Amino acid sequence: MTLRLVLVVLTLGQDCQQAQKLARTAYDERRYDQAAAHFAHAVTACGASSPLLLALGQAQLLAQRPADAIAALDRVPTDSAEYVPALKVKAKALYLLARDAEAEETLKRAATRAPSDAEIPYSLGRMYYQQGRHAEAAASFRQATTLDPRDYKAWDNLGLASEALGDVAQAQQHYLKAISLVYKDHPGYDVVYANFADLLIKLGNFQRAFDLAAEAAQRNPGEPRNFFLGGKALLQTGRSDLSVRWFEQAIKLNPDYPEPQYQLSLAYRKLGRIDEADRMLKSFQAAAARAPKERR
Amino acid sequence: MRIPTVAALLSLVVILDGRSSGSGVQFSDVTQASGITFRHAASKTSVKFLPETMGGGVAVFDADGDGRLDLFFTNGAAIDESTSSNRPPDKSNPRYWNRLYRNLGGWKFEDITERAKVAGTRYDFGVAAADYDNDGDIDLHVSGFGGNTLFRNEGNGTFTDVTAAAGAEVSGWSSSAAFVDYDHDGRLDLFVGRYLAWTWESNIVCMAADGATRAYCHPRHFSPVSNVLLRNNGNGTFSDVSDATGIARHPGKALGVAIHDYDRDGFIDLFVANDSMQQFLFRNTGAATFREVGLTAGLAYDDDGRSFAGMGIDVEDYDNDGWPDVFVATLSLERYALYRATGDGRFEYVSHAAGIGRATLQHAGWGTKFVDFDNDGRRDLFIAQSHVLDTVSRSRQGFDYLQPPLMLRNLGSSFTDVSASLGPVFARPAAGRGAAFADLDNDGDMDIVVANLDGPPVLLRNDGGNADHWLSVKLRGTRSNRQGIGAVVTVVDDRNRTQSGICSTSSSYQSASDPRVHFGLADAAKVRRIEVRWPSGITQVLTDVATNQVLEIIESASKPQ
Repeated sequence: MTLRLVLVVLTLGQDCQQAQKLARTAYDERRYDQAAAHFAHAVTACGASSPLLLALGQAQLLAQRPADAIAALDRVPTDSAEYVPALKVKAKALYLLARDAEAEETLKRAATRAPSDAEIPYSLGRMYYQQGRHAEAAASFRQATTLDPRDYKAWDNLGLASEALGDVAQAQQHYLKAISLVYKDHPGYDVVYANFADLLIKLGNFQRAFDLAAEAAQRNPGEPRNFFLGGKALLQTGRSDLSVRWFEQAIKLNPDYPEPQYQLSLAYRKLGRIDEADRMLKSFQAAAARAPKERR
Repeated sequence: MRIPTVAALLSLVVILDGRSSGSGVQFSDVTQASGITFRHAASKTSVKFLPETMGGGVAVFDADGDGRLDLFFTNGAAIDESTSSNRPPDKSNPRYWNRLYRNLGGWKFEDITERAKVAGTRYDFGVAAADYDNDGDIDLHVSGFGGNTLFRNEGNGTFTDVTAAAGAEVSGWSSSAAFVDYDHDGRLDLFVGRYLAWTWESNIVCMAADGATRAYCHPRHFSPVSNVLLRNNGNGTFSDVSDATGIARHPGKALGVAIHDYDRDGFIDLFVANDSMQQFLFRNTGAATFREVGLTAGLAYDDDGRSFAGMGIDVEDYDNDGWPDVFVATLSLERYALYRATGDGRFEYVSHAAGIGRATLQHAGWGTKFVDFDNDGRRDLFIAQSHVLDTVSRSRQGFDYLQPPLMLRNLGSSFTDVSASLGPVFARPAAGRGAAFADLDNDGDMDIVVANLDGPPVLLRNDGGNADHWLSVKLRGTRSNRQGIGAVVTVVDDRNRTQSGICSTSSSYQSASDPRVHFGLADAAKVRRIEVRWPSGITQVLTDVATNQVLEIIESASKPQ
């Protein structure tokens, strides 16, 4: 009887370690469905520790299973070190489920527990921004930059929020601050260059906008928006022939992206390629019809 | 690829000052002393019926033929939470009546609603005004929920509801309408824009962004409906030609309607501002049919191919290149849409390049018109404003429901916000909806009437706009419709500056303006040449005309060229 118990414990122990190893590997390889399954198994085999529940919740969220993630994260004890991180992940899951008020309340609870954590006001800001609550978004991003002055994403988003509030001068200052932080230290961060390019297009500064979009594209050649903005700036400067290549690259990277297809039809028309313009308009209409009405 | 340095980027920062002078012009709010006591009544409920937030319109027209421009306001009706198809809105209480005010001169008005018999029977929205029967007096079309009303002017200060007898009944929810002679037979037809498929029973619960406040539903919850085109048979009746002309093939969510010959082919086209979907341009083929060409003409979407909430609309040549351009007032965060005609039957979205995008990011606009308020020879832009959601500030910090009107001064190729310089009314938040435009006191500058939702209207008298020279062209058709609606007037002044304008009562939002074509002429002492392209096809030319006058031009008997 005792021997059998020992064998069971040993087997469970091996099973626990194996499940965690498989889960970590799958997670690192972005196979989130499998990672979630292995973490769930690990929770059974190892016991429902806070780190495992947090890892399970994270994997489930990334596997697009927000309801399961919330269930796992709710099991994290309030007195554990993982409680605040669990709240942050849970808020994202709630937001994905369009339970905005609960997500906001969850983040505020996390902020009470960890008032110096810059990621919390940043996440709140992102949520407010998506909801169109731009003044609140700006306040949250500003708080994040106060807590962590080197938080380039917060500066970038503060630029976006300022722009949405109509303060383009402030927006430019914030984008520049973010660029000064990522210029050398974060060579893979492209978003602020694209955001700034977008603003400069709206302000009619097309050559500068193109320079920024080109930098964004160099930093992240897999992001179609970077090529879309580059093409749009080129088109506005009268270089329709060059813009075509940029729009085509954006469409190649994401054939369901409607905006570059619309702009490409304009470029074709300016070049007198009317048949191609008409075909691209039809393609744009189809892509626009497929596009989700709301993104979260 | 060139990589900008941070130092180089620092040089990009632009400090924007959107306000500048408006040439000393002031708009005075003369409502209180005018005798106009009308107050729009939306009859708001706790269930947020969609009609409550759409507001009414205003018509500026000469109702009694005395040469003075009178005012007509549409109104809501009594509704409550239990309103239904079986228990429809009640307009019997005088506070819900539409109102007609007779202009007594000197900015004084007298309420003649009862005598004129135009109080209405429905929850009404829009008004169109024109002499559809060519008898010399101006008739009215009133759009409403659950039907419309065609009021024939009897020429004795009274109107008769001839909707049924004229075969002019339009079902559903109609908004803006336009009298237009689409088939060029000399008789004004009627285009009626319809909003969407909504009933009292289909009203659903929608919440504001805070999740706690009930709000008006987004139009995406309701299906689009087709517009209606009624052909004038010339005997006092109309025929529904929506199917035959192709109009019915394009369901939309019409809020604003305007007319112009955008491709200068001699046939009047129709522009429809749709709410939260693509905008429509119905191109008149010249064979009594229309083709919807908004997408290929570059008018359907913004510069990225995104739809927006088109509300008020106007079509005029703001850059004086001879080609009519298009302005559409939209919702907050969408930026008002300015489309410049490129001269090849297409338009380009120039909101950003023209400074409109920057100036209007947080604004929501309705009644609007290209109007040269300071007679400098460039058409400026007026917009009556307010967010559509009266709950918006509770759920979205930084957004206001009530917004002051906006005047964007035309600097040539761009616009700048001069509202602050034009008087206190431009700082006073309101729930602006309809707006109509006319030189109400015939002093040579353009005045404005704004119909506010659930509140009193505002009469804005232009003081000082006539410091520069002007010319107002009044048309009288003989072969064409009597008012010359659809005619395009082009003037060349003695400085060789050319401007053109359409004779129309229809644009803006649910409102009807004076069809006289007003030209600001700056320092020009004389107009060297006036050309009128009548809807009949006749082109008429006058030379060496004095400025600072209302000039009546009667259509010549010449054969079409």
